[in-house]
Amino acid sequence: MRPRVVLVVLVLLVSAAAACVVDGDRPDARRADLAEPFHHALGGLGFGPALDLTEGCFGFDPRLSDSSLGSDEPIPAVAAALPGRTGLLFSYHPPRRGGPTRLSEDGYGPSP
Amino acid sequence: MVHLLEIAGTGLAAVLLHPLRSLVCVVALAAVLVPYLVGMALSQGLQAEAEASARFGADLYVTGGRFGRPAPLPREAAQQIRQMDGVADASPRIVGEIVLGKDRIPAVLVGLPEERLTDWHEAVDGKLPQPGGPYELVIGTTLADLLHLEIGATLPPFYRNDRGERLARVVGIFRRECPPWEARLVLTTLDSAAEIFDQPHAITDVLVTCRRGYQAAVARRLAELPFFSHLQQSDSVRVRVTSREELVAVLPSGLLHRGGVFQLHFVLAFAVGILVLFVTSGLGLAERRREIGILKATGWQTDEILLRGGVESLCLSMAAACGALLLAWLWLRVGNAYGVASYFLAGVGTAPDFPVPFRLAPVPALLGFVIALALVMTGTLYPSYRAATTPPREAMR
Repeated sequence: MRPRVVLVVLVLLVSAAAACVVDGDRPDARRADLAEPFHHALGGLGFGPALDLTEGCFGFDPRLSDSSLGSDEPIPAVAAALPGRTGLLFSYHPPRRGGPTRLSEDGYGPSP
Repeated sequence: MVHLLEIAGTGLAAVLLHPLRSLVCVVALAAVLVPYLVGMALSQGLQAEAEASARFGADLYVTGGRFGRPAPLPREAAQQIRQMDGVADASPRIVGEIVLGKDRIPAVLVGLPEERLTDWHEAVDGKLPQPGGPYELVIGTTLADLLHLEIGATLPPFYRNDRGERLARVVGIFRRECPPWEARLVLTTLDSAAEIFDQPHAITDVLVTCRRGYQAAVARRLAELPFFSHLQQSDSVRVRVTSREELVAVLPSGLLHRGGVFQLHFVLAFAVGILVLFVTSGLGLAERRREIGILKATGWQTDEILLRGGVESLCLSMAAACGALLLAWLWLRVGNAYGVASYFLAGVGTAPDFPVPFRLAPVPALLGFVIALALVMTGTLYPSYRAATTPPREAMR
């Protein structure tokens, strides 16, 4: 009797968890519908984990500025409690513009 | 085979044999797994939003820089770029920070030319801003909630302009289902934004749409445009061009780096969890030793005892991983990441005003289960092995 109870509870739990993953992994259709006109009209605005510019442009959108000063806190989440630091799990490095730089024979490269 | 299944059945029964131990095990594991799953889900949800932002945005972004920091461009830069071969459109844009209300709430003001402010009514409740009269603004949901603003509300001047200030009127509010960056956005026309910032001849960036196949060539020629060479000589402003591809490329490396650090922290948390499980599961539990001693005395072999312990561990870790998934889903879907969203999105309060994006993907869920299984196995099998290899008379003592 006992093993059956445990087995039934486990099957129910696994089914519920699978349903959660199916629901949670599915993109929100309404959100996806609105994302296109929103970004198309604004020219693509917002990319990072900040919703305003108080910590600089980079955390909000690296297209506005690739200066990442003060936004590369290595401790995720915990650093969010510190004022003035983004410190979030979702982050990125400044974009590399124009591909690899080729140096000339005298050691100078083209102007970026 | 039937014999093995019968032993596995005793493993299932063993879960209920020590209910307190099982409960502590499941709760301790779920306590570690839930924040991990929620964190990964929020991070992946935001990544999906960022990818959409890059995909639906412009082909190229032209900004100015001075001393490594952003610098404004002259307004005629857009006109100069528009004349280039291969350019389909070049729109000036103003993006800047303002503060609103007596609590000085930070907001992002965006100014766009009127011709861009069409055909996206579905993203806004109300109407889009038009030139003339008081400044017309479309505001984000968080701003509307914090400042108690509704459509038709009038804002007193919140800026300083030597030529005088004007009232502003809220004509629309972004829909909550829009991308999360709408939360603190204030949208208006380009001219209104220029007057609010008192910068009639400057813009922050130019959005460039290229004809098919011209993007790379336009990006290369932009920096060599005589207009920008002159700008660098006269105002020391260097032009910077960011392409959509460069933007998309920054996502995986950043996520891998930060995601790796995040997972490392949880590995440390699990390492501490092993010690907890050692204490709660095997080493300190004399009753369990006695039980194994009795089993050995009645003819059970060591591998049968280990199989029984393995099945018990599998059940416990499965229950913990599934329970953690359920709790994480409830926290994100029903609770809208209450209390945790502010740790992953700067500028969000304890209770977010918009649906927080998340993706509860199968891979982190599976990883959580594997880690939980490894933990419980460590806490169960080793003490069971030690008890099973001890003479039954000693184990039962």
